[in-house]
Amino acid sequence: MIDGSHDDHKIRCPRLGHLIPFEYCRKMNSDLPCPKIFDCWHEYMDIRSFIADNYTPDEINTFMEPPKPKINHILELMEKIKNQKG
Amino acid sequence: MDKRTKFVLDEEEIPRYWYNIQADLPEPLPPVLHPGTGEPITPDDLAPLFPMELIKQEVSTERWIEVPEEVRDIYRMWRPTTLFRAHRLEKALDTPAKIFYNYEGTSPPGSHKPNTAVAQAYYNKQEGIKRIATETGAGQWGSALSFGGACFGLEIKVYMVRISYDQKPYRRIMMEAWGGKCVPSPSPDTKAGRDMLAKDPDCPGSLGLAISEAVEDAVSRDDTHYALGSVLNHVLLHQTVIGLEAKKQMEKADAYPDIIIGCIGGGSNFAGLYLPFVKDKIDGTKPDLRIINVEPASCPTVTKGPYAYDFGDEAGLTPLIKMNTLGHGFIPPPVHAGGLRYHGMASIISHLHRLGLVEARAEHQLGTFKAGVTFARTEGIISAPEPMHAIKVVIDEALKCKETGEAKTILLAHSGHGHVDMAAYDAYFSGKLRDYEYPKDKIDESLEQLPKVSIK
Repeated sequence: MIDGSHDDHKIRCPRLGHLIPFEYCRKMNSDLPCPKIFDCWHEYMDIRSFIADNYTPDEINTFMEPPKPKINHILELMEKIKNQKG
Repeated sequence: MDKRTKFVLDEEEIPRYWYNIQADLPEPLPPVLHPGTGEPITPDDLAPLFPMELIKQEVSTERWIEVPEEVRDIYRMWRPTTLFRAHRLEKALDTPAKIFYNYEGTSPPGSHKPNTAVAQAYYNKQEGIKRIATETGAGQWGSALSFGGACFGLEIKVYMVRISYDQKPYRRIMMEAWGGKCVPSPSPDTKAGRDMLAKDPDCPGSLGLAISEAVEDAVSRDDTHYALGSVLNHVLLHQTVIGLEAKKQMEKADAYPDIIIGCIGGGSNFAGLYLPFVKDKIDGTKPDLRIINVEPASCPTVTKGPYAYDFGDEAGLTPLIKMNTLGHGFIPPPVHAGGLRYHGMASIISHLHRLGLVEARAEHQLGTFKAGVTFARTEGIISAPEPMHAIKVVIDEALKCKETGEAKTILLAHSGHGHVDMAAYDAYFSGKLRDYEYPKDKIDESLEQLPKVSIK
């Protein structure tokens, strides 16, 4: 069971542009944390211990998969959709 | 004392050309590689998503690109924007510095975004496109594109991240007022959305998923294209109307900036202001001009790179080492500093930073709110949280001038008002932004446990 004691804490999400509760940051990536969770939360809580205590190495590897530059992401999406159609 | 506060241009002085920095870069931008082929992308790769004129602009090295008269006509609704001299802020700070700011909050959606939204809507209309799909977080871009669509009779479909859709209704309502159709993402309108909803009906969404939905929408229909409000070269090109106007206005003020300061998210507003000035730095006319990109300290993209991945900084305490302390024998993925450092940031900005033509600075949340409130109480403008970051650095630089006695000229890029961000102000005033700050002694204790390593 994941520790939900920080869930209501809010900070501004630099990607979405408004206040976001910690619960979103730890769940938004198909129930795994946002890749930027360390960046955004390290000043507010011991995020390092939180992640170590609540996720397996495989899960950490999964959510830490680096995001791609936006244009590359879009081109990949296009390829995927074309392949699905074709 | 010169009390003149506003420097205003006539409508006829709205720029007739956008300035393309790609013509003057000392080194060209690295090409975008196609993920499938590994080769540089071609116009055909982008054609399903963007009109050909925008694709041409994306790769153009022509210095000046004509602003279509139809776009200039729409710009007349709020452009030229005003350049202000911040006399009251200067007085409050008791600084000899001269502070100017360009304010983009007077556009219909209240930010700089329509400078490109209108242009993108125009080129799509010209190509016979009927619909544009896009994604949005808090809604600034979605509302700007809805406005742009209304100007040219285009249908706009906005996939808004569901948590933002639920928590930030006012931008959504603005989109609807301009005729845009805004749906929460994940939505049942696309395969990507349906798949996610089947997996988790309560999914709060993410920007990545909203992009997937918007791209799928655009690729699936011949009458539909996709639009982006930041990052791409043509977006920054359209935003140069800001800097071109500001240059003329500074001339009217008989001034030229020593320092230009602005906030960067995707970077489009600030780059729009400073690119025409960077030209002066590149050609040697103003070699001492300083340009400072300001970003959130919590989430630096230019100053440090993502905290969790980046181990190439000279600071010595590296996130890689922090990751190694996670336990479980966890080894982080191979590094990504180069690619990741600038994820989400316009490649032009990253490139200028690498070339040493612009600087970057990171600011903490509470300090920026304090600066934003000072600005509201002196200059009257209630700023969005993004420009507050830049205001904080403007104040710091002005206070340095007070110490040194230098009367430097500072130009601030002010991207827009915060009238739909009042919840953030409320959180600040009620102390909620402080409540969750992790105790410094805990952070210090945690850092003390880490091995200190210098990496060159």
